[in-house]
Amino acid sequence: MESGSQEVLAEEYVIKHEPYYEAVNDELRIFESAYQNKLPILLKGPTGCGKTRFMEHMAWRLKRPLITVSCHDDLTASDLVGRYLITSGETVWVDGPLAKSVRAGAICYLDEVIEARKDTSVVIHPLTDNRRILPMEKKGVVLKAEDEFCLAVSYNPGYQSVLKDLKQSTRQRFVALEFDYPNVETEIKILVKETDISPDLAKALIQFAHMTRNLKGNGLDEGASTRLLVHAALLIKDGIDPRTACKTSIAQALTDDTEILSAINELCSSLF
Amino acid sequence: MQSQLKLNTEEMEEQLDKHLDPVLSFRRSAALPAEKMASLTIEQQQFGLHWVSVIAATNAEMAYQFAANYSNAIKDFKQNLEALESWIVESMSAFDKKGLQLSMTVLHDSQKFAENYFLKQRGVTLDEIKQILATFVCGLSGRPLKIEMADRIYTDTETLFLPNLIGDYDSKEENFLYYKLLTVYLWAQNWYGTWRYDLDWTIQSYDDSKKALLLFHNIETIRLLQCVKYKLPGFYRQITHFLDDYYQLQQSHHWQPVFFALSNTNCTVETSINLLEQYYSLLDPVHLHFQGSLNTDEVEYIKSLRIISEKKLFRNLLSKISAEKKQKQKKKENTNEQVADSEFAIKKIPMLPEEQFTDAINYELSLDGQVISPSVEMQSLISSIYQDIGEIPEDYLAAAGPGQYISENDQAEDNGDDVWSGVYHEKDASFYDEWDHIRQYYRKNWCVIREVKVQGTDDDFIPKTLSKYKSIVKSLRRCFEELKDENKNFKRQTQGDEIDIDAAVEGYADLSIGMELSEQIFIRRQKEERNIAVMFLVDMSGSTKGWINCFEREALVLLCESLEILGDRYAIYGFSGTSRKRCEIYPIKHIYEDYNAEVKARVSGITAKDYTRMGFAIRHLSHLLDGVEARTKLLISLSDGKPEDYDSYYRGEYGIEDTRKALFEAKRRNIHPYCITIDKEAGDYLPHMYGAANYALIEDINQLPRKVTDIYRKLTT
Ligand SMILES: Nc1ncnc2c1ncn2[C@@H]1O[C@H](COP(=O)(O)OP(=O)(O)OP(=O)(O)O)[C@@H](O)[C@H]1O
Ligand SMILES: [Mg+2]
Repeated sequence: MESGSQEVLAEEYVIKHEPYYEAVNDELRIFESAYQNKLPILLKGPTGCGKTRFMEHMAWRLKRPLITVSCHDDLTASDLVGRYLITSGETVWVDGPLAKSVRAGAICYLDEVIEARKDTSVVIHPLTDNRRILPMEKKGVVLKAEDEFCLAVSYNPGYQSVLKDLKQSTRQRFVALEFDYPNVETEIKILVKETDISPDLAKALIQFAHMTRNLKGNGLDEGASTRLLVHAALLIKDGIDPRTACKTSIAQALTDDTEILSAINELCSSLF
Repeated sequence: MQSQLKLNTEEMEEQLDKHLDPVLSFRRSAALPAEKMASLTIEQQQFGLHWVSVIAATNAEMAYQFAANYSNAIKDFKQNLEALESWIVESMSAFDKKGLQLSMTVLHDSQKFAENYFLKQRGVTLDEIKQILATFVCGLSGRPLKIEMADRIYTDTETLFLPNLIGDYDSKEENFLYYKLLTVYLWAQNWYGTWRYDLDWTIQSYDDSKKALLLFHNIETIRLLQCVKYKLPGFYRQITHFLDDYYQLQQSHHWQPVFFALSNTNCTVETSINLLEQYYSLLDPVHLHFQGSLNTDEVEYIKSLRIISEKKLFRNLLSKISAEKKQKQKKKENTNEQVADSEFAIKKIPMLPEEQFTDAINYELSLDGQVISPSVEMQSLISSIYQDIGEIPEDYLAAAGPGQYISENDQAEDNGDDVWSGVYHEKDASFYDEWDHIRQYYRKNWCVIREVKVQGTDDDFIPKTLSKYKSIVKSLRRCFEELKDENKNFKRQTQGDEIDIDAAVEGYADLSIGMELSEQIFIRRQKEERNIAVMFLVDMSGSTKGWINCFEREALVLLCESLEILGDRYAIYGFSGTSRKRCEIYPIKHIYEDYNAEVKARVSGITAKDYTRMGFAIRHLSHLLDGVEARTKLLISLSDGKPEDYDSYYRGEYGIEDTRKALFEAKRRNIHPYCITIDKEAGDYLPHMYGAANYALIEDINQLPRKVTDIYRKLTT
């Protein structure tokens, strides 16, 4: 069981070029302050509003490697910590992403942490209070985190499911940063910078996004995110008709309900 | 096998005779129909004969009438056999339902039926597209607007009234587009402030007020179309071909100055009022088909109600904010002295040029000089007030006095005991405590509650509802089937169908460093057991009387359909009562009861009763849920308003606080409470009671049935 990605050294996760991130509030300062104070960080917010991009940017700013884990419902504590493997008859310990980050003093970002298995809190909790240690049960040791190490997790409170809520004992360990869609001015800037479209087109796309955001709770669970606008802008720049671009990259991404889809397409055709 | 040749009159008569024999006589033969049918094409002949035989099997007289009218009908239906068939089927079902008389009417009226048929073919009915339009208009900015059917095209500022059917244009697409035009036009009246002005007052000052209103309407239409053209350019391009009359107007040199004066998108309704004054004697009103009418009376009425209630709500919200601030201040300064009243200010923030297209209204609300960020509810309230008035007037900012939020009903405590002393008894009752927030203690055994049987109603409510929501039921079924069948791989199990390679490798590694081999190295594939128990608490208070009650019942029917598929355990209880001595719970379905005919009859039999004392109902259901073994327990209430009771002290804050306490007790028992409401003011108290994420407000009661099930799905996945 040799997998290439596990062999990459933590140093190689270092981000060399500044990832473009447009600050919406004072999140840069707060993150830096939390980081200096060795406090873990919780990013809340709807999908596609720049959380991942923000983490990349912060890692670059703080000059730390960034190790990202997308959590899923099969992700166990040992996936994070590490495990023994056998190579040519010998057992070899392989660090999981969390252990790697702790050792290298990297920033570890657990995306959608709610999805992970419950037993992951066994390793997250001691790392996120002032002990800052990672218990490695299999090896029978604990790892003390480097000063530069930082844990950030994200979650989307928008899904109201009672089966998926962050436990109080977990959430109360973090400094929470709330993300939301940027205001018009900022969002125009983002679209123009990311995709090089004209500000006028960006405006129209954002106006459309606002219409879909008005539908939140009235047929849609979420409105169009900045990410979807970026997608549509890219298609349009490639010469695809704006209506088609919005239909395929925004409307279809938002819902399967035919009536809501027709309504969204009507909104779209009203603009372009 | 019939011959494939065209039949002549004799052959045709022979064929017809076979089927129509019972109703033929000396005086009545099949010769005439046969002669007419002989002139038809082979295909038409065979089609006709086929149906003669089918109809004759039901009723020979009807078949004769059909044969007699068949060749005329072919002309009416423009040789369209599909259309003919629908006419025939209609007449047969008329016969089944109402007998020969009615079916004859249908058969003889082929011309009218055909007209209708073709109209429906190209036409669009409001029913087909109402949902799309409602969603569409919700995506545009502003106060949520409903769509309803009416004979006239107009808006009352909360609802857009549209015709039942539009079929004047050649295709479905065109007719739909015309609906879209009407919708956008009426929306524009609401959003661009046509109703911000006291129209009646202005119009009455003209000697011909009728003319003045019509002329104002024309002018306003020009202004609105300018705004729409700017905000929705794509839409404007789509509908230009409906605007011939409008363009003609634009060309006429009488009207040109008006168009010119309105070409700027900053014009407001005042501009139109001024133009009216200027041009009243110079212009004659014209008829523009899409503009419908201005219904000033209805608007004034609806608006006045809304302005009063929004003003109250706004001031209540402010007084709550200031009360919270005072409380904090008191705590901080640790004094009991009277803290000075705070002062609110509101300022409109000029918008950046980039933002202007969103039409957002930017306000900055501040308390004693400090800017506060308004809740979502406050924001939409401000936006709605702005739509009506164009600003937030000074007197809105004076927070309602400190006592006012607590209640407008703070009268002396009525005594429940006296009222019920005659008939009152406590046999078979259970008792629940109630929380008194003023004294900060539980009133012991305060509520006397009884489970009261619901009289079932055996009618066709359930099948009717299922057919009314046919398409929704279908999609709910599909969606819940998927939920149920979600196969999950459970990794690291002690037994299972497959080896969990990851675990095995890890185990092997463990083994070779001398650790014990874990037993958990299998993958088990299994439907994840949902293990959810849910109880629904249905508001049966008097205020639900009529349509709310009906929608509640429909919502329950759709819920039951879906829950039956899922297999989640569920119970339904209604609640109501009068005073603390007569708190009543109406079991509709116990948790282990099947969804059987009795339950269905009870759902259908739910009626509106008295008041909404909520605390006891939540406590009783929590108690019942406590006795159910389940990993996840949910208590979902369906309600139309805040708690209140005949005991006047229960209204307002007392009831809210008691309910909140009851919910808190439920949470401690590991029950998740959730509230679905149609009370527009719910944002005022529900977040406080349930927590912000634990309630859903359904603005449009029509949506209740479909939404409830949808919310349940989201809550539990
Ligand atoms: N503030 C911002 N600055 C620059 N780009 C942004 C910003 N916000 C959003 N974007 C754009 O939106 C895209 C999606 O953002 P990102 O992937 O960070 O979303 P996310 O919040 O991590 O979403 P998810 O929760 O689905 O993972 C980015 O690739 C970027 O193009
Ligand atoms: Mg992300």
